[in-house]
Amino acid sequence: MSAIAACSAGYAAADWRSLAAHRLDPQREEPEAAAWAAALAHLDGCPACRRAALAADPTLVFRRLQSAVPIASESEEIAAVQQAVAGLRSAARFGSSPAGAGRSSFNLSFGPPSAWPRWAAAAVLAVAALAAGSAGPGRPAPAAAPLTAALAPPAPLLAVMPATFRTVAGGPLRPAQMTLRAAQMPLHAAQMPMLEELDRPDARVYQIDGGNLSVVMIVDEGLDV
Amino acid sequence: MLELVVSNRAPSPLWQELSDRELLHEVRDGSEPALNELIGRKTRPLLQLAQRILGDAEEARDVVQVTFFKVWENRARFDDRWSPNTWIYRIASNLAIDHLRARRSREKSSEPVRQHLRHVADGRAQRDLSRLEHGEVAAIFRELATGLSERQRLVFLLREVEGLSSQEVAAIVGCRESTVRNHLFNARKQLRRELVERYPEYAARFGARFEAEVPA
Repeated sequence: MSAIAACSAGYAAADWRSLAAHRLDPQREEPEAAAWAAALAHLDGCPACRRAALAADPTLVFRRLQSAVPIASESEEIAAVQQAVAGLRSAARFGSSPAGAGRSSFNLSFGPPSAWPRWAAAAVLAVAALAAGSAGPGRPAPAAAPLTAALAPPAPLLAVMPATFRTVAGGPLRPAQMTLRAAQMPLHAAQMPMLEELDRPDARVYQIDGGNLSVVMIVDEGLDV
Repeated sequence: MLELVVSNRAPSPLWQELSDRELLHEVRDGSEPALNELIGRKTRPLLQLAQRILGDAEEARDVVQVTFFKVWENRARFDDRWSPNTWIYRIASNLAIDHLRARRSREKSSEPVRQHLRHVADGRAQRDLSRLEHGEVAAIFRELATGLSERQRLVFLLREVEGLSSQEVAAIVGCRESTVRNHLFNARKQLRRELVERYPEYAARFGARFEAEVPA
């Protein structure tokens, strides 16, 4: 018997060696689940047993990982996840997601997931630039025009844009601002009805979300009028 | 071409009363509010699982986001015979393993981090395992788990930390229960050995008996 006295629940060091023996030997049967669960539950609240149990099997220390991982603000995390998922779904629906996004395999085939949520913001920026009507592949902005002007929506479109896509002064957004705001799109943007079966494979579709109104832009360079 | 779409759809308060399975049925039928309710319920446990597997909050966030996106994309494939938790955990676990594999090469060059942890451990020489703080245990696990295979790490966390049964772990990992037990045993053995080698100030307190049980 160990020098450690039995605790008030009756566990002693020898008990823990016996209880933990199955963890050290693949041939040993696990103890009855209920007995082991009760012992573990007791272990978490009894310092004397914790020392005895760790002496029997130090890997029991990793049970401490069960305590909650610190999360700054659960509601903010949930809102951020909801927004990001809405963005991913929108990007996939608009066909601007990377190859493989719609595949049904659980294993990703399009690279590390860390790069994936950023595709949505990148797609938004690209489509917004095309929506300006003055920039894009094969149609460069006039040399005299500054970058911010080249990316700015035309005045009539700016007038109907919700505040989400305008600065406080109502002026055009710089690219960095547009990316940031795109990442903060309201959640209900993805809850709106979307265009289905758009038979224009070369077109790019973008939805700008307002309070009760959404503007869906279909940008098709093939329709050069 | 310009089209306008008007919508006044609002989330129904009834979603909160549905079970996880009922919610997944709604999601399977294309309900976006049901997906948002599911996100509200599962974000925290999934974030914690992903963070334990990956040891990185930012990567864990990415995994959780893509998990729910995959839930939506694969909603038609949800089978009623599966537990909703098992299905969602399986998606998240696979994504987290993909992450681990992607950064495996980076971890191989983590010697400076190990040196730092060892240095920190020197300062704790007078303490023992039973008194470590959560953050310290997490840091030790992050370091030692680099020696485990992705499967071993996942099985160990699901079984030992999440407290799932072998049957549930087998369903999530996609293998037999006997394979789960093997992964678990090998993970424990590896972790014990690494604890002795890298944190002798703790292991010494357990005496020769412990060292004798851990083959070199």
